Amino acid sequence: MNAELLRALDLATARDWAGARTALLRLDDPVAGRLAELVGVLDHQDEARRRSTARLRHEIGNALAIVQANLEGVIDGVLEPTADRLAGMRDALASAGLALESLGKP
Amino acid sequence: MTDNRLKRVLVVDDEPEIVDALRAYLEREGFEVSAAGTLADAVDTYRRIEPDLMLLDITLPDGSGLDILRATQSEGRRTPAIMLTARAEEVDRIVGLELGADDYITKPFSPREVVARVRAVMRRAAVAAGAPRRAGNTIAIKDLEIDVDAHEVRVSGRDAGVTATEFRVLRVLAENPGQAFSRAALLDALHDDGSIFERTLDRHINNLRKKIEPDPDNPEYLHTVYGVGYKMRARER
Repeated sequence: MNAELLRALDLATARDWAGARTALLRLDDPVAGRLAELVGVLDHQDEARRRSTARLRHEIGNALAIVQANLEGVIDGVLEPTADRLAGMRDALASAGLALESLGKP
Repeated sequence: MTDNRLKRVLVVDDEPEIVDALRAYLEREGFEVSAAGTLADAVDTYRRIEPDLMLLDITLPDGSGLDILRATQSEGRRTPAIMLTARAEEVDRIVGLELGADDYITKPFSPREVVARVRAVMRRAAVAAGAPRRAGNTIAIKDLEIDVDAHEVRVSGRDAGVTATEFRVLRVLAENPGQAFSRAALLDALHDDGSIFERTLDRHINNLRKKIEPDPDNPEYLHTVYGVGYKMRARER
Protein backbone atom coordinates (compact mmCIF):
# COMPACT_ATOMS: atom_id res chain seq x y z
CA MET A 1 0.00 0.00 0.00
CA ASN A 2 2.73 2.45 0.97
CA ALA A 3 4.73 1.93 -2.19
CA GLU A 4 1.60 2.38 -4.32
CA LEU A 5 0.55 5.45 -2.36
CA LEU A 6 3.98 7.00 -2.84
CA ARG A 7 3.86 6.26 -6.54
CA ALA A 8 0.45 7.93 -6.80
CA LEU A 9 1.75 11.00 -4.96
CA ASP A 10 4.76 11.12 -7.28
CA LEU A 11 2.35 11.25 -10.21
CA ALA A 12 0.52 14.14 -8.53
CA THR A 13 3.81 15.97 -7.95
CA ALA A 14 4.55 15.54 -11.66
CA ARG A 15 1.08 17.05 -12.27
CA ASP A 16 -0.23 13.91 -13.91
CA TRP A 17 -3.56 14.52 -12.18
CA ALA A 18 -5.56 11.87 -14.00
CA GLY A 19 -2.89 9.24 -13.39
CA ALA A 20 -2.62 10.16 -9.71
CA ARG A 21 -6.40 10.03 -9.19
CA THR A 22 -6.72 6.66 -10.87
CA ALA A 23 -3.85 5.24 -8.81
CA LEU A 24 -5.30 6.61 -5.56
CA LEU A 25 -8.83 5.35 -6.23
CA ARG A 26 -7.45 1.92 -7.08
CA LEU A 27 -6.08 1.69 -3.50
CA ASP A 28 -9.64 1.55 -2.15
CA ASP A 29 -8.62 3.23 1.10
CA PRO A 30 -10.34 6.17 2.87
CA VAL A 31 -7.15 8.25 3.14
CA ALA A 32 -6.27 7.56 -0.47
CA GLY A 33 -9.85 8.48 -1.39
CA ARG A 34 -9.51 11.89 0.30
CA LEU A 35 -6.18 12.41 -1.42
CA ALA A 36 -7.89 11.64 -4.73
CA GLU A 37 -10.40 14.42 -3.99
CA LEU A 38 -7.56 16.77 -3.18
CA VAL A 39 -5.88 15.83 -6.46
CA GLY A 40 -9.17 16.66 -8.20
CA VAL A 41 -9.16 20.15 -6.67
CA LEU A 42 -5.56 20.71 -7.72
CA ASP A 43 -6.39 19.50 -11.23
CA HIS A 44 -9.18 22.10 -11.46
CA GLN A 45 -6.95 24.89 -10.21
CA ASP A 46 -4.19 23.89 -12.60
CA GLU A 47 -6.61 23.94 -15.53
CA ALA A 48 -8.03 27.32 -14.50
CA ARG A 49 -4.54 28.77 -14.21
CA ARG A 50 -3.58 27.40 -17.61
CA ARG A 51 -6.66 28.91 -19.20
CA SER A 52 -6.16 32.29 -17.59
CA THR A 53 -2.50 32.35 -18.62
CA ALA A 54 -3.51 31.52 -22.18
CA ARG A 55 -6.07 34.32 -22.21
CA LEU A 56 -3.59 36.85 -20.80
CA ARG A 57 -0.95 35.78 -23.27
CA HIS A 58 -3.42 36.28 -26.08
CA GLU A 59 -4.56 39.70 -24.90
CA ILE A 60 -1.14 41.07 -24.02
CA GLY A 61 0.51 39.49 -27.06
CA ASN A 62 -2.05 41.05 -29.40
CA ALA A 63 -1.81 44.46 -27.74
CA LEU A 64 1.98 44.47 -27.95
CA ALA A 65 1.80 43.24 -31.55
CA ILE A 66 -0.37 46.25 -32.45
CA VAL A 67 2.02 48.68 -30.78
CA GLN A 68 5.20 47.12 -32.14
CA ALA A 69 3.94 46.70 -35.71
CA ASN A 70 2.55 50.23 -35.90
CA LEU A 71 5.51 51.94 -34.21
CA GLU A 72 7.94 50.10 -36.43
CA GLY A 73 5.83 51.09 -39.41
CA VAL A 74 5.99 54.77 -38.47
CA ILE A 75 9.74 54.60 -37.79
CA ASP A 76 10.34 52.83 -41.13
CA GLY A 77 8.21 55.42 -42.92
CA VAL A 78 5.73 52.76 -44.05
CA LEU A 79 2.85 54.13 -41.97
CA GLU A 80 1.73 57.69 -41.25
CA PRO A 81 1.68 58.72 -37.58
CA THR A 82 -1.97 59.83 -37.77
CA ALA A 83 -3.96 60.67 -34.65
CA ASP A 84 -6.06 57.54 -35.27
CA ARG A 85 -3.03 55.33 -35.39
CA LEU A 86 -1.58 56.80 -32.22
CA ALA A 87 -4.94 56.42 -30.47
CA GLY A 88 -5.04 52.76 -31.59
CA MET A 89 -1.64 52.16 -30.01
CA ARG A 90 -2.72 53.89 -26.82
CA ASP A 91 -5.88 51.76 -26.65
CA ALA A 92 -3.83 48.61 -27.20
CA LEU A 93 -1.53 49.53 -24.32
CA ALA A 94 -4.53 50.32 -22.14
CA SER A 95 -6.02 46.89 -22.82
CA ALA A 96 -2.67 45.25 -22.01
CA GLY A 97 -2.77 47.23 -18.75
CA LEU A 98 -6.26 45.92 -17.98
CA ALA A 99 -5.13 42.38 -18.65
CA LEU A 100 -2.26 42.84 -16.23
CA GLU A 101 -4.61 44.31 -13.64
CA SER A 102 -6.77 41.19 -13.81
CA LEU A 103 -3.80 39.32 -12.35
CA GLY A 104 -4.56 41.07 -9.06
CA LYS A 105 -2.52 43.36 -6.84
CA PRO A 106 1.18 42.59 -6.39
CA MET B 1 -0.55 30.27 -61.57
CA THR B 2 1.46 32.60 -63.77
CA ASP B 3 4.61 34.29 -62.63
CA ASN B 4 4.02 37.70 -64.16
CA ARG B 5 1.29 38.77 -61.78
CA LEU B 6 1.82 40.13 -58.29
CA LYS B 7 2.10 37.53 -55.58
CA ARG B 8 -1.06 37.52 -53.49
CA VAL B 9 -0.99 37.29 -49.73
CA LEU B 10 -4.11 36.67 -47.66
CA VAL B 11 -3.77 38.16 -44.17
CA VAL B 12 -6.26 36.82 -41.61
CA ASP B 13 -6.35 38.55 -38.23
CA ASP B 14 -9.21 40.05 -36.26
CA GLU B 15 -7.13 43.04 -35.14
CA PRO B 16 -7.47 45.69 -37.89
CA GLU B 17 -4.41 47.55 -36.59
CA ILE B 18 -2.25 44.46 -37.09
CA VAL B 19 -3.70 43.88 -40.57
CA ASP B 20 -3.03 47.54 -41.50
CA ALA B 21 0.62 47.37 -40.52
CA LEU B 22 1.21 44.02 -42.25
CA ARG B 23 -0.59 45.26 -45.35
CA ALA B 24 1.57 48.40 -45.53
CA TYR B 25 4.80 46.42 -45.28
CA LEU B 26 3.74 43.70 -47.71
CA GLU B 27 2.45 46.19 -50.29
CA ARG B 28 5.68 48.15 -50.08
CA GLU B 29 7.47 44.91 -50.94
CA GLY B 30 5.29 44.45 -54.01
CA PHE B 31 2.75 41.96 -52.74
CA GLU B 32 -0.96 42.21 -53.43
CA VAL B 33 -2.72 41.96 -50.07
CA SER B 34 -6.24 40.86 -49.18
CA ALA B 35 -7.42 40.72 -45.61
CA ALA B 36 -10.11 38.97 -43.57
CA GLY B 37 -11.04 39.24 -39.92
CA THR B 38 -13.13 36.13 -39.46
CA LEU B 39 -12.93 32.47 -40.39
CA ALA B 40 -15.96 32.69 -42.67
CA ASP B 41 -14.66 35.76 -44.47
CA ALA B 42 -11.22 34.16 -44.80
CA VAL B 43 -12.53 31.01 -46.50
CA ASP B 44 -14.62 33.15 -48.90
CA THR B 45 -11.71 35.40 -49.74
CA TYR B 46 -9.44 32.40 -50.16
CA ARG B 47 -11.70 30.92 -52.81
CA ARG B 48 -12.04 34.24 -54.60
CA ILE B 49 -8.42 35.34 -54.81
CA GLU B 50 -6.52 32.03 -54.65
CA PRO B 51 -3.63 33.48 -52.67
CA ASP B 52 0.00 32.42 -53.07
CA LEU B 53 0.49 32.53 -49.32
CA MET B 54 -1.60 32.95 -46.19
CA LEU B 55 -0.73 34.66 -42.91
CA LEU B 56 -3.18 33.18 -40.42
CA ASP B 57 -3.89 34.27 -36.89
CA ILE B 58 -4.91 31.22 -34.90
CA THR B 59 -7.45 32.78 -32.56
CA LEU B 60 -10.36 34.21 -34.56
CA PRO B 61 -13.80 35.27 -33.30
CA ASP B 62 -15.60 32.44 -35.09
CA GLY B 63 -12.99 29.72 -35.10
CA SER B 64 -9.35 29.00 -35.59
CA GLY B 65 -6.82 29.82 -38.29
CA LEU B 66 -6.08 26.11 -38.27
CA ASP B 67 -9.63 25.54 -39.56
CA ILE B 68 -8.74 27.62 -42.61
CA LEU B 69 -5.75 25.37 -43.27
CA ARG B 70 -7.96 22.32 -42.98
CA ALA B 71 -10.65 23.79 -45.21
CA THR B 72 -8.23 24.79 -47.96
CA GLN B 73 -6.37 21.50 -47.82
CA SER B 74 -9.59 19.55 -48.12
CA GLU B 75 -10.15 21.44 -51.37
CA GLY B 76 -6.97 19.85 -52.61
CA ARG B 77 -4.71 22.88 -52.74
CA ARG B 78 -1.61 23.26 -50.65
CA THR B 79 -1.15 26.98 -50.17
CA PRO B 80 1.91 27.96 -48.16
CA ALA B 81 0.84 29.28 -44.77
CA ILE B 82 2.51 31.08 -41.89
CA MET B 83 0.65 31.00 -38.60
CA LEU B 84 0.51 33.95 -36.21
CA THR B 85 -0.06 33.28 -32.54
CA ALA B 86 0.29 34.93 -29.17
CA ARG B 87 0.03 31.61 -27.39
CA ALA B 88 3.08 29.40 -27.05
CA GLU B 89 0.97 26.34 -26.29
CA GLU B 90 -0.60 26.63 -29.73
CA VAL B 91 2.78 26.18 -31.35
CA ASP B 92 2.69 22.49 -30.45
CA ARG B 93 -0.60 22.15 -32.24
CA ILE B 94 0.72 23.90 -35.33
CA VAL B 95 3.69 21.63 -35.77
CA GLY B 96 2.26 18.58 -34.04
CA LEU B 97 -0.95 18.09 -35.93
CA GLU B 98 0.72 17.65 -39.31
CA LEU B 99 -1.38 20.47 -40.65
CA GLY B 100 1.24 21.56 -43.09
CA ALA B 101 1.81 25.12 -41.93
CA ASP B 102 5.19 26.17 -43.26
CA ASP B 103 6.23 28.43 -40.44
CA TYR B 104 4.89 30.25 -37.43
CA ILE B 105 5.51 33.63 -35.82
CA THR B 106 4.68 34.52 -32.24
CA LYS B 107 3.16 37.85 -31.27
CA PRO B 108 4.40 40.45 -30.73
CA PHE B 109 6.46 40.42 -33.91
CA SER B 110 8.43 42.75 -36.10
CA PRO B 111 6.60 43.31 -39.41
CA ARG B 112 9.97 43.35 -41.17
CA GLU B 113 10.58 39.86 -39.82
CA VAL B 114 7.18 38.79 -41.13
CA VAL B 115 8.05 40.04 -44.61
CA ALA B 116 11.36 38.14 -44.48
CA ARG B 117 9.54 34.93 -43.51
CA VAL B 118 6.96 35.45 -46.25
CA ARG B 119 9.75 35.76 -48.80
CA ALA B 120 11.54 32.69 -47.45
CA VAL B 121 8.42 30.50 -47.54
CA MET B 122 7.53 31.72 -51.04
CA ARG B 123 11.05 31.02 -52.25
CA ARG B 124 10.82 27.45 -50.96
CA ALA B 125 7.42 26.99 -52.55
CA ALA B 126 8.70 28.34 -55.88
CA VAL B 127 11.68 25.99 -55.82
CA ALA B 128 9.31 23.12 -55.12
CA ALA B 129 6.89 24.06 -57.88
CA GLY B 130 9.27 25.28 -60.55
CA ALA B 131 12.05 22.69 -60.39
CA PRO B 132 13.03 21.60 -63.90
CA ARG B 133 11.36 18.36 -64.83
CA ARG B 134 13.91 15.69 -65.50
CA ALA B 135 12.83 12.13 -66.02
CA GLY B 136 13.72 9.63 -63.35
CA ASN B 137 14.66 12.12 -60.67
CA THR B 138 13.53 9.79 -57.93
CA ILE B 139 15.41 8.46 -54.96
CA ALA B 140 14.34 4.90 -54.17
CA ILE B 141 15.19 3.10 -50.95
CA LYS B 142 13.43 -0.21 -50.43
CA ASP B 143 9.67 0.60 -50.61
CA LEU B 144 10.28 4.32 -50.19
CA GLU B 145 10.34 6.61 -53.24
CA ILE B 146 11.21 10.28 -53.04
CA ASP B 147 10.07 11.86 -56.29
CA VAL B 148 12.10 15.04 -56.44
CA ASP B 149 10.31 16.28 -59.58
CA ALA B 150 6.79 15.79 -58.28
CA HIS B 151 7.84 16.77 -54.73
CA GLU B 152 6.10 13.67 -53.55
CA VAL B 153 7.00 10.81 -51.24
CA ARG B 154 5.53 7.40 -51.87
CA VAL B 155 5.59 4.29 -49.75
CA SER B 156 4.88 1.15 -51.78
CA GLY B 157 3.45 3.42 -54.48
CA ARG B 158 1.08 5.25 -52.14
CA ASP B 159 1.44 9.03 -51.57
CA ALA B 160 2.58 9.58 -47.98
CA GLY B 161 1.28 13.18 -47.90
CA VAL B 162 4.38 14.84 -46.45
CA THR B 163 4.55 18.61 -45.92
CA ALA B 164 7.04 20.82 -47.76
CA THR B 165 9.34 20.94 -44.76
CA GLU B 166 9.17 17.21 -44.15
CA PHE B 167 10.03 16.64 -47.79
CA ARG B 168 13.17 18.76 -47.53
CA VAL B 169 14.36 16.94 -44.41
CA LEU B 170 13.73 13.54 -45.93
CA ARG B 171 15.38 14.46 -49.19
CA VAL B 172 18.65 15.53 -47.56
CA LEU B 173 18.80 12.32 -45.53
CA ALA B 174 17.83 10.13 -48.48
CA GLU B 175 20.42 11.69 -50.77
CA ASN B 176 23.03 10.55 -48.27
CA PRO B 177 21.87 7.08 -47.19
CA GLY B 178 23.79 5.59 -44.31
CA GLN B 179 25.34 8.92 -43.36
CA ALA B 180 24.58 10.17 -39.84
CA PHE B 181 23.64 13.86 -39.58
CA SER B 182 23.79 15.85 -36.38
CA ARG B 183 20.86 18.21 -36.03
CA ALA B 184 23.14 21.15 -36.78
CA ALA B 185 24.61 19.45 -39.86
CA LEU B 186 21.13 18.62 -41.08
CA LEU B 187 20.06 22.24 -40.69
CA ASP B 188 23.18 23.36 -42.57
CA ALA B 189 22.42 20.94 -45.38
CA LEU B 190 18.89 22.33 -45.56
CA HIS B 191 20.21 25.89 -45.89
CA ASP B 192 17.42 26.86 -43.58
CA ASP B 193 17.27 30.57 -42.94
CA GLY B 194 15.24 30.70 -39.74
CA SER B 195 15.74 29.52 -36.17
CA ILE B 196 12.22 28.10 -36.39
CA PHE B 197 13.45 24.94 -37.88
CA GLU B 198 15.87 23.89 -35.18
CA ARG B 199 13.16 23.93 -32.54
CA THR B 200 10.91 21.64 -34.49
CA LEU B 201 13.33 19.28 -36.25
CA ASP B 202 12.67 16.33 -33.93
CA ARG B 203 8.95 16.74 -34.41
CA HIS B 204 9.30 16.78 -38.18
CA ILE B 205 11.25 13.52 -37.95
CA ASN B 206 8.52 12.01 -35.76
CA ASN B 207 5.84 13.13 -38.19
CA LEU B 208 7.82 11.67 -41.09
CA ARG B 209 8.12 8.37 -39.28
CA LYS B 210 4.37 8.25 -38.78
CA LYS B 211 3.90 8.81 -42.50
CA ILE B 212 6.55 6.55 -44.01
CA GLU B 213 7.41 3.87 -41.48
CA PRO B 214 5.46 0.61 -41.30
CA ASP B 215 6.14 0.73 -37.54
CA PRO B 216 7.07 4.27 -36.41
CA ASP B 217 8.43 2.98 -33.08
CA ASN B 218 10.83 0.66 -34.90
CA PRO B 219 11.94 2.76 -37.83
CA GLU B 220 13.12 0.97 -40.89
CA TYR B 221 14.20 4.10 -42.79
CA LEU B 222 14.78 7.03 -40.47
CA HIS B 223 17.15 5.81 -37.79
CA THR B 224 18.11 7.70 -34.67
CA VAL B 225 21.86 7.70 -34.15
CA TYR B 226 22.18 8.06 -30.42
CA GLY B 227 24.27 11.00 -29.32
CA VAL B 228 24.48 12.26 -32.89
CA GLY B 229 21.20 12.75 -34.73
CA TYR B 230 19.59 10.93 -37.62
CA LYS B 231 20.41 8.88 -40.68
CA MET B 232 18.62 7.19 -43.56
CA ARG B 233 19.16 3.43 -43.85
CA ALA B 234 21.87 2.48 -46.30
CA ARG B 235 20.77 1.37 -49.75
CA GLU B 236 20.66 -2.37 -50.38
CA ARG B 237 23.30 -3.65 -52.73
